[in-house]
Amino acid sequence: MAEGLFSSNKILTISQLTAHVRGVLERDRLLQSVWVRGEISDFKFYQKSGHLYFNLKDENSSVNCVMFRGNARNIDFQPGDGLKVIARGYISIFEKYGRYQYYVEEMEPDGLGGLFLSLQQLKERLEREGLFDAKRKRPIPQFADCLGIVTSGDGAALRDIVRIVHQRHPGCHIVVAPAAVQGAEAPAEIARSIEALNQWGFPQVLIVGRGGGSIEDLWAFNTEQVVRAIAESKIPVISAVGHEVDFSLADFAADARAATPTQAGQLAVPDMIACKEQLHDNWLRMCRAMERYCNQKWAQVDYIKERSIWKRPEATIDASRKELQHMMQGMKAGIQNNIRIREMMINRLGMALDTLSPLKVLERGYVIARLENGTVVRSIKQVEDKPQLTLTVRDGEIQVQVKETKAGEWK
Amino acid sequence: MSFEKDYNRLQEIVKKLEEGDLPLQTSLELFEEGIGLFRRCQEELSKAEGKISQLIKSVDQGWEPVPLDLTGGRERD
Repeated sequence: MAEGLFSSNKILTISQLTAHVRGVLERDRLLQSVWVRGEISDFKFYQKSGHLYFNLKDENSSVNCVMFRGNARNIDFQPGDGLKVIARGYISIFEKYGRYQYYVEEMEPDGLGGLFLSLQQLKERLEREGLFDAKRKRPIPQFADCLGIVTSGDGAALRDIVRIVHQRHPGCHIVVAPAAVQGAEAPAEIARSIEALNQWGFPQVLIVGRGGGSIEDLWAFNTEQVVRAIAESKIPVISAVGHEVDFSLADFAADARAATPTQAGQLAVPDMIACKEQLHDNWLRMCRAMERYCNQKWAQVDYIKERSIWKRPEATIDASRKELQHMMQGMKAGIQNNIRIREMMINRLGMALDTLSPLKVLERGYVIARLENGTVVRSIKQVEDKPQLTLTVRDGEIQVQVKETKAGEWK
Repeated sequence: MSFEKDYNRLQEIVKKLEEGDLPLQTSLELFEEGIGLFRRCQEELSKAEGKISQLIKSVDQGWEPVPLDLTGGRERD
């Protein structure tokens, strides 16, 4: 019976079976391009191949997924476990294990949570690049009289800005570069308008923004294109993306941030009425300072006028003469003192000379022996031919004849 | 933006004159300059023909502002 069973059916190898299943799956049109929603688990990224391996699951089921390098390159967020995603791909079979797999070709974060995730990741990337650095921020000019505005040409934001600007600074020239502020075209249009105002070059400050709206409405101001256009603007930019609490990436890149279009207008131009008051105040202060200065100078002149030299010039001359006399006396005394000191020095030298005189030596019993020519005898060598010598003593001279010489130290 | 320059210079002069320890000649020169600056600032402030323009692409591919009338847009709100 068993044999009959086998013979009446075609027996397949495992490979044939797998190939057949694969064929069935690949002929199904739905399975060849299907969108799914699920949560990533068991995520693995192979550095070497660049392929991503993970599971997509919901509460009850799970499916193995592969995303090959070529497709993985195009995703603009960092996938990971627990992340909810929407993916598009096809179903096929991994023949080695006979396991069906979902081959992902596109993937993006699911829902608003996903939107925020990619926003967060974009923010971190631009931050690393230094686009939000405090040192990039330029001061908003104090007295702009040409203002560029990038916003919707027919929105309330534009009229709010124009109203407040002309209220504060009636002479300000306002130039509008209109741009769609929501929808797919918005980022490119906003960026183009910022560039246009920079190329034209006259505005001293720009306001880029729109009135309030939902997070999705404001999304253009979170795009890389708009953030870069703001960061690259040579003209300082005030962002005015109408929401009080959250920041848009445009706010981080701008040189100043306003919560509302009206506030942006206040930041952009000075209040000329206050300015006029201050100008007048400066004028008054300058006049007062000058008056005070002149009064001071007159007081100095008066003081000089009161000095005695103008009243009794002879008194000053007398005083000078007395001073001169005093100086002469001092000089005389100085010279006399100098002479006295020199006399004392000379006396002292005389005394020193006296002690050194040879006469003093003769007094003590020494004699000086001289040859006929007057040379003083200092050595037996001078008297080897036994000459006559003249000896000088204290009270006269003695003539002697040398009889003998003997070498030796005198003791 | 000469107004900003003029205005700041005027403030500087006021401060210098208020400090007061300057030679007479310098003081007089500063005062004279201050009067000129004040007049210029005042003129600048009394200009009140604020224009509103829209930037459009010009024939030579540059940009030029053309007058913009905002009053027509009021109903669209």
